[in-house]
Amino acid sequence: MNQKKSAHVNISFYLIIFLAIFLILAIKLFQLQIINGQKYKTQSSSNSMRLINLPTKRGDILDINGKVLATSIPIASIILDTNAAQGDQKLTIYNLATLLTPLGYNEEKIYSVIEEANKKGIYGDVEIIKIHYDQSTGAEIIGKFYERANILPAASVNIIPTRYYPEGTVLGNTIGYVGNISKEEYAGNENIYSLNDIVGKAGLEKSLEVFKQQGTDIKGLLGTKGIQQVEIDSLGKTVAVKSTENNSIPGDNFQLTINLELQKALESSLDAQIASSVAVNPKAGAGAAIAFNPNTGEILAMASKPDLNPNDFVDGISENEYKYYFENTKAPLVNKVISDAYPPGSTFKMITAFSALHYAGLTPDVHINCTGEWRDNIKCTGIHGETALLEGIRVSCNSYFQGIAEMAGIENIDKTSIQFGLGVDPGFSDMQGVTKGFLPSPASKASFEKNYLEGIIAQINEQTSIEIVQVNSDSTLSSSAKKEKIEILEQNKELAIAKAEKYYEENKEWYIHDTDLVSIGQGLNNYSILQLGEYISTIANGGTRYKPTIIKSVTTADGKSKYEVKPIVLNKVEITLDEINLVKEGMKLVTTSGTASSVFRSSGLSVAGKTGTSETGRAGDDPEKNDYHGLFVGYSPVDNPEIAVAVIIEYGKNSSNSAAYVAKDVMEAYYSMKGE
Amino acid sequence: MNRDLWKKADWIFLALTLGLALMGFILSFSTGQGLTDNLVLKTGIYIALGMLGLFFIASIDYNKYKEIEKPLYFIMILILVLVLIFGKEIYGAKNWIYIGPFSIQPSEFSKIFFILVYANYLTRHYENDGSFKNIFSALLYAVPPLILILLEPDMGTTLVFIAIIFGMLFSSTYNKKYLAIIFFGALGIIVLWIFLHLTIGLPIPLDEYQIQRFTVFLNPYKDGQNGLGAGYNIIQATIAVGSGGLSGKGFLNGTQVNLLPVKESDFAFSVVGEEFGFIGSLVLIIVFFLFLLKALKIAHECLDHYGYLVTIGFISMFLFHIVENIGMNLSLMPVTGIPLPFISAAGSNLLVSFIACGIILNISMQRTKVIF
Repeated sequence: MNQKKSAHVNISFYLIIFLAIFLILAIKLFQLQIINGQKYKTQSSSNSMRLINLPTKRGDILDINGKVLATSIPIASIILDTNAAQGDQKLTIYNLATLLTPLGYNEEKIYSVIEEANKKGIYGDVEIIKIHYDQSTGAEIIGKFYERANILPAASVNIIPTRYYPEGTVLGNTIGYVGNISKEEYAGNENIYSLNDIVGKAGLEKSLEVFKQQGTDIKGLLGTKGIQQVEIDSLGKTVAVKSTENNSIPGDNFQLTINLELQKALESSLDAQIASSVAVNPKAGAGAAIAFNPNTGEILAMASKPDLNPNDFVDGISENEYKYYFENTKAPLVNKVISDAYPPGSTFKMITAFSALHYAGLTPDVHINCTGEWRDNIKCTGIHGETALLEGIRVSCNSYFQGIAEMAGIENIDKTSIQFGLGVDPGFSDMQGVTKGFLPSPASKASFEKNYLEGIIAQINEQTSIEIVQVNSDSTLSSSAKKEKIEILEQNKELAIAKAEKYYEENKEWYIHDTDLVSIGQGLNNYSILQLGEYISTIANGGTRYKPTIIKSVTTADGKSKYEVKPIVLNKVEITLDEINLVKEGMKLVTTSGTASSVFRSSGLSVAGKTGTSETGRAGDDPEKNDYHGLFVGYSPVDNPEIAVAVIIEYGKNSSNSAAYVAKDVMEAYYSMKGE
Repeated sequence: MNRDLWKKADWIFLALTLGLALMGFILSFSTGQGLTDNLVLKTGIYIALGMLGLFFIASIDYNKYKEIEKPLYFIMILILVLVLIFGKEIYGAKNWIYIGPFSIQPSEFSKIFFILVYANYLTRHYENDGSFKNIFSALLYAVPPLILILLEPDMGTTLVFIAIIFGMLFSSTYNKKYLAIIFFGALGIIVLWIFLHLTIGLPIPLDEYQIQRFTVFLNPYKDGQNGLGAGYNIIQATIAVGSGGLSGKGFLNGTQVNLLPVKESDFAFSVVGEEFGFIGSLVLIIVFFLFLLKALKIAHECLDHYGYLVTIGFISMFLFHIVENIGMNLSLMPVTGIPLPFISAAGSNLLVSFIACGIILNISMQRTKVIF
């Protein structure tokens, strides 16, 4: 019996431990209730007042005639207060399950929804389900919810505005979409957002979310949330709204310069041309186009294909939609008008003409002999013989433009490009993700080639080190065999690097050949369709480059404050009006008897333009197999132009004709609308 | 059971037990306000059942449990397996079984079984010298029920089990060095791990929300929702207790606690704090203290190692429940959902507490005064 006592602990040891523990509790109690009691009493009496956020309506996006492109419709959200008393919660969940049976809900489902929310760190109010209010079952359920409110003590209904795009895919890529705020978007913006907010994720929904304009109350699509003081009863439920100190302010409405009818005409024409291109070349399937008012910089229509439907993103995308958007080589999420740059091909030739005319004294009677090949390496589209300016533009004679480009020199070609907005910031501040394109010059080529070399060397080094690791871990090899193999790998690496360096040394300089390539829109030339549209608009209006805009006006929801966008001139070109008019004469010939005449001749439209068939510059493309992009830039009418268009059809059927057809369709739609 | 034994029972311990139950019953009038269930009636039924249980259990010679260690161990495991299969999942943990209108929490009852069998195991190995090997095999014996409870997953009860294991091992090993190293080492590693996870992002096999629930008591306003998220309960509990001041707002006059979920169980102490103030809370704490002291005295007066360990096991259980529950009401401890014995309206726990006291009472009947 005494043996067991030796394992025992002296009772006074336990006593001291117990005393210490209970003393800590008593001291904490003393601190809370006696020392800070008054502070908590004050908090307790004011705590039955609670501040809550009032949601606000996101602004609408409208076309120029007020047709709705993006709006918010009411959707009912059923909320369960998981901080309510447990008995109330059990009762509520039981009755909620009955109410929601038609939508496939039961008690287990509700508990799992709560659990999922908790996992995301959401406690307190948890959203159980979203119900489309305009659906008949939805309206019925919400009706019943209000009738049965007494047996649903821990639940409430929030009618929340949810984004809706009545036109679906039309302009979808440019409008963009909304989604749940991410941690990155929330960080630093805690004053305007809360963690379960919906925010613009792409396109105009993103870029116009916050849009302030001095001298007006314009703030953007988002609006300002209200703060409401409410009184809560003994169960923590709202019994009275005490004040709306700060009413919520709905977001601003944006009226675009886009004309919905013209937009639809543009898109269906693009769709048709892309579809017929896909039939002959499976690489086809994408394209982009823009129509400007050349006298203001207003965008009348713009489209990027394949389509994006913003409605797909409202409730989270499905698996099929995910595949379509994120695993698609045709990249529907990329706005190809503003974010992608393409080789302009022969649409660039007016730049070459302007630079030779203005800076090198070219006159329209100077002839260049086209033998079908320039400097034994660049083929022409035909053998044109002695060719002058107008004829050169009409038939798109490569040799002629190479000849005059060598007169002008690359510095003057670059100087001219910049004046027309090519290779510089297009000044389109209404959207994000706008590319500058790439303007080739001796300096930009050198740095391009340098970057290319560094990339190649890094790749070779990485590849070799992977192979060395593989050799080292190969247990079937003896150590001498490994050594031998590694030596060979190292030698191969040195050889490959030497080869790349040799290529760099040969290519870093600017050669006359580079000027020849640039003159016909190839080489390193790469511009967005937005830039080509800006360029053709500047030609069309006689030399004024306007800042592109897609916003016509912005109005606060109550209509009190309005902001109208006025045309802004970015620059005027140095090229004289006479020089521009001379080139325009050639562009008229293009549609009447030149490269685009088969498209326009019978249309009766007054059009001037220029076709382009560009080598894509993409790996695996073969000019022998007609792997060309089709481009067209043009304007109408020839005198006092009202509409300027730039189009690309990737791997277009009959190359530039596919693009020219889109331009024709848009111009016809423009006139038929105007006639109404 | 003869009457002589009842005469030797520790009447003060019994009085303290019934006193605590009475306080819990009175409190149910207050916590039951605004609930759809009739909490007072429910609590009354549970107390009546509990008292019947207490007197019945107190009449059974505790030495009999020694003979049925294996069946008890088996039943304990069986209950815990059944609850995993048939249990109803509430808030992510499968630890309830519904029988008619009553719901029971089998993991609560498993604590009694465990203490009875573990005391027997440790008595059989009471030559336990505290060597690493002996400690290890003693811990191994406790692993199966622990795993089953973790699978539910019932974090609170798991912690109670760990407290019981520690208390019983501590009281039955000669050399406490390895025991202390294992327990405090593990505790230190967990705390350090969480600390490093929060400061330098060391990976941890837990979800962010679990960690947040566990650490938010340190700064409840920093829960990502300005105190309306995981920190909400802690803030409201602190305000409720604090606003009670010296003498409280008076019986049935608490308002702040109504902002708390499960105020009738997890946050019952906040009701005491708000309605009865510092004086009332202190009285409750002192009664708990005396209750545990009395149990400790019974343990030490028991000449039989088995009876001693059983009592120590129950003391560990009660102490952990009391400290953790009151601690979380005072934001000294993380919120785990462990009820306050006799005070919280938690049926299963109330029955278990009565049964535990019944067993302790029987042990008190068989003591002999030791005069040193």
